[in-house]
Amino acid sequence: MLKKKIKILLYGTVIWSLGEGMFGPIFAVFAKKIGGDILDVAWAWALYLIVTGALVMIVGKMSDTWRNKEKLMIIGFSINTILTFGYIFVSSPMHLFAIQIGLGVGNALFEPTWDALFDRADENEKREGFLWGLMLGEKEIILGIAVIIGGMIVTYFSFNALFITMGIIQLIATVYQTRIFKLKKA
Amino acid sequence: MIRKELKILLYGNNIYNFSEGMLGPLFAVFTQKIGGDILDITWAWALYLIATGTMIIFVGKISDTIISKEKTMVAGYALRAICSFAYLLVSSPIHLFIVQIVIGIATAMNGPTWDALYDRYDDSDDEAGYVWGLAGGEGKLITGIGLIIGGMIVTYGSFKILFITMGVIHTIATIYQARILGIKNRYTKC
Repeated sequence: MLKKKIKILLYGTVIWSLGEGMFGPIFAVFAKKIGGDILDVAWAWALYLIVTGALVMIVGKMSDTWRNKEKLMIIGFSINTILTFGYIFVSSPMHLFAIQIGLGVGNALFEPTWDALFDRADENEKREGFLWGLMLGEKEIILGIAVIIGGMIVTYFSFNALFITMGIIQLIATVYQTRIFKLKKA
Repeated sequence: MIRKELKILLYGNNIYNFSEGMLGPLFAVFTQKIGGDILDITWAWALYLIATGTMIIFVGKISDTIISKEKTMVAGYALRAICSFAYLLVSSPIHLFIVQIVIGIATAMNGPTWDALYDRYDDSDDEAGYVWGLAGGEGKLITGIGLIIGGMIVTYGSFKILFITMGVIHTIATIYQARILGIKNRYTKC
């Protein structure tokens, strides 16, 4: 029987992955559509990763002294939800770089805090592999389904339709994860 | 102070991520180059993710009981290295789908086991955010740097050069990460 906190974290990340995963590998197609070349594609994605990577270590360290990891996590999810809608206004590689940097900041806030909360939510060491497997497995399957849906939305509709769909799903995921505050108070 | 096992896991993962990052979003460009459209890109990626997700739950379950996490993880690293070289033989979306499924299995073998081992060797309860931040942060930084280099290799060289470079680095990561087996054996003998 999984604890309620683990369930919120697991289901929250599953909903989030459904929204986030829709863009996935067609990021490069979008970057080329707005006038980018291969190096622009690489730089845009690299900026996101480098900003996330640099900040995630700082946030991870800082969050150990803060009691409210939950709040940091929700702020991170919120920033990324807003920026997903921001993709609608991207019309040049420079705009894309700005959004990617912002997404890196948001990611740095929720990623280490989510991991630490999930890591500490279960004390049963015997099932550590199962729990991490469940989390990663569910996430990957949902991402896979999301990628197919994302590809279909872009093929039969447009990138704007994709960004709106992604943003709405991420908003639902963010609101759902806020239930963790109630548990904390209890 | 970080334990030696955590260092091996971290550095091994960094080498792996560097290579992994080199292809990154250029995967879509490669798929289009071999004749794929947007749906081929998404299906190829989705097959990888679904294969990973399905196998990961299974591997996560048995790695607690039947097989040691360390061996499963190193085998996953080795399989991923083979797959990087296998990209050299890909000339149609169907070939790509097959390689992606095998990469999915490799990721399922090295993903949850790495996480669980990292979790196990992290005994600093009051520094969980820092230890996990280090893992996620270094991984992302290195992946980002790998991606820029990957983009340059494709722009000024070719995808073939990229895949050979990735394969070599993945092999180095596998050999480095295999050091954890030696440490585990020493602890077991004691």
